[in-house]
Amino acid sequence: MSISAVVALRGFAACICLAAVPSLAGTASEAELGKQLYLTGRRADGTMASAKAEGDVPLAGPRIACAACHRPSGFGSSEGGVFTPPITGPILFNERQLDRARFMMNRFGQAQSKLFRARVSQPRMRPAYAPETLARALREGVDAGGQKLDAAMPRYDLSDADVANLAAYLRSLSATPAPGVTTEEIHLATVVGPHAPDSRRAAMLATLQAYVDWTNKNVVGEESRQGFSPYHRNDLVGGRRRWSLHVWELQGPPESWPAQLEAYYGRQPVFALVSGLAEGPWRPIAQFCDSHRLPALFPITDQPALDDAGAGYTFYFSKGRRLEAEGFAAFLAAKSPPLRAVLQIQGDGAEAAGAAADFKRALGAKAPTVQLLEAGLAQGAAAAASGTPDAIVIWPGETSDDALAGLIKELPAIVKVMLPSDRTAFATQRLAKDQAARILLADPYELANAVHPLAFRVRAWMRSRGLAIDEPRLQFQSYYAATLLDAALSRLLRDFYSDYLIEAVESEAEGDLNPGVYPSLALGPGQRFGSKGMFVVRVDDAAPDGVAAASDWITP
Amino acid sequence: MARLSLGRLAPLGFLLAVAVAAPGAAQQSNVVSRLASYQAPAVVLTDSADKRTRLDALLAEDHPVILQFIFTSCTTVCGVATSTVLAARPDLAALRDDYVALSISIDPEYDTPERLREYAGYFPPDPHWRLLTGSRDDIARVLKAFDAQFSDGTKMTHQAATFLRAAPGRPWLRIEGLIGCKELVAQYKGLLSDVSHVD
Repeated sequence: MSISAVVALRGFAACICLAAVPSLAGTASEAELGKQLYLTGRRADGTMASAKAEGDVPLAGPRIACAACHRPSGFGSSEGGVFTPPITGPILFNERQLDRARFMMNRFGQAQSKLFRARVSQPRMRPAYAPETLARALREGVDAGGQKLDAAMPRYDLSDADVANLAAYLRSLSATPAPGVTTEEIHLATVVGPHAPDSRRAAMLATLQAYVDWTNKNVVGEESRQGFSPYHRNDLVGGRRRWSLHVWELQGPPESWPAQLEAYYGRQPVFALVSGLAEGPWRPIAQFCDSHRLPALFPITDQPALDDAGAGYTFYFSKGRRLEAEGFAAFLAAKSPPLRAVLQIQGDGAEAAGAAADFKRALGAKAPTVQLLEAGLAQGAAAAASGTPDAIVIWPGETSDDALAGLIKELPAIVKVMLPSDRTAFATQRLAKDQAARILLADPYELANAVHPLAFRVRAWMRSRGLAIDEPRLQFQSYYAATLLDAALSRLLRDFYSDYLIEAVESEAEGDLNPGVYPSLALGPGQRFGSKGMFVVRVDDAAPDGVAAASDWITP
Repeated sequence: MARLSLGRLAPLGFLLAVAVAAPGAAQQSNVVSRLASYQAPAVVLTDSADKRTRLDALLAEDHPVILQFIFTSCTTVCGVATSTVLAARPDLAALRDDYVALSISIDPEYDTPERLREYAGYFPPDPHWRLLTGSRDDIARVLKAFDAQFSDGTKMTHQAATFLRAAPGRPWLRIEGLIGCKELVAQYKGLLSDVSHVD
């Protein structure tokens, strides 16, 4: 997914808020052209700007755009030992103010290099930028106070009109805080789909509410003891808010969800969605979030909105069923000697059709010499008998366990049968032993015998809050979503902007918050999937979860 | 940025910790660099053309090497660091044309060969340049071998650095932070002339 695509979509959202503040934005066309320059590096005349960083290094492609380093929010970034300061309108066009909380966050909130620490420890005071000093900064790298800017800041070849356009856009950038935040509260929501099993729904909501209660107790405690910390924590309290969690229950078919979500949002706008649970496609919910620039952290779904996820506002744990299809293809493509033929049996429903299409595409790309046989559920056994495949992949979709068990019984006994992860309980508990022995399952989670240090702490945290741990994986997933949101919110301090939250999540996800559901969780700029791989596992009665690894970690 | 010589006080403990003034560079260098010995681990990495390569074998070939750690979703330093090596190509090649420029991903699960190709597409093509990725464990071993692990386990805090080496068996020159083309060429020239003096 290209960076320009990310910034373009998020930029589109940013231009919506231009309309809300015309008095600050200059003329619309100026701001529009400035936005284009900021997000893509394209000048008013349609040509790409040229720029050199580090004195003599010409930059190319999307990396020339202001948004690359200063990010779509304009709040800058800290990466690779380089501190990129915020350049939103209120900051740029006012005299530089020292902010002790922001300084503490930059200086001590991350493990950066000595050069980085030296940079943020030397605040450069400067007057407000004016058109001519902004032009000088962009072209010559000298700030409004006459000081030289960092060599990493490119020196651009821009006309006066380009600079004016950019100034018009920057005045509007992150000028209006996102809805859902008051001086005391942050409104959050979690979405629950109509067919979510009661036990899972209850476990997720109980976990989230426990986290909200715990956060709120901490916030109230900190607020009631002003000056409590001799160190810097006290400075950060001003950005803390109590959390108010709204449960958005959806009814009916997915096509009707957007209207229901709009109604909930209309009654009480929220700043972010956290966790969530729905059977079926997440796309209607993701599209709603994109249309409101509403960050959504880690819903529990097998069917994320994949095709526009890269530029969107929803973060997922993984690519769900597509990951499993691609993982199976990679697993089979790596077999030696190479396989002759693989049979794919497609069950009922759209999810099965999607997985089958993904598998076909991935196998064709990774193992073009392997013959792919395809059949529907009813013809599966006949196709297996006539085609003599080396392996059989089944995407059951909405097919019932009984029908699936009947099919498996009819398949040739010597061939391995591969199933997606949602049939793990079926394979380990429902199938007869001799049938289970031939099953291979996709497993996008950490193996049960791996021990993550944080898992002990999270369990202890849950127990000490009286939470029953009935659905450990799901509760750990919800807990991760809540802790990551907490960590990202604390980076914002008082600057509650959607794009800034997205950027904070991107950079905080890889920290030490993973409670062990996945081997690793990490994001980066523009990344939307925390975990990128899976195991192939076999049924093993002796293993704690009933399955044991049949492959290394596969990252297709 | 004020490139203080702070970095020169940093991690001694290993060999030959000296600040290198490139021969022929008349003005004083403000680049923080030091010589060090690194042993590449015997790991198999995959390049942007899906070709698998043993890193230790690749580095044992008799070529000068310019090595950087990058990740393709990086929007800040990685693109500048890559641009420096690619833009310096005419001057580097004029000194010695058989060098190998390596960009090794530190985000290997995201940076598939396909993503490496997409990243390469943002830059001018350069036959010296190879982009490599691998398994998470193998990349961790490479980072450790080059003393380039990120301090709190998150790639966003990785330090921009460029590693130069004139020939197998010669020490590596580790340059910390971002540098310009002229500086890179001067350092490359210094390393090459150092080899010719010694050998």
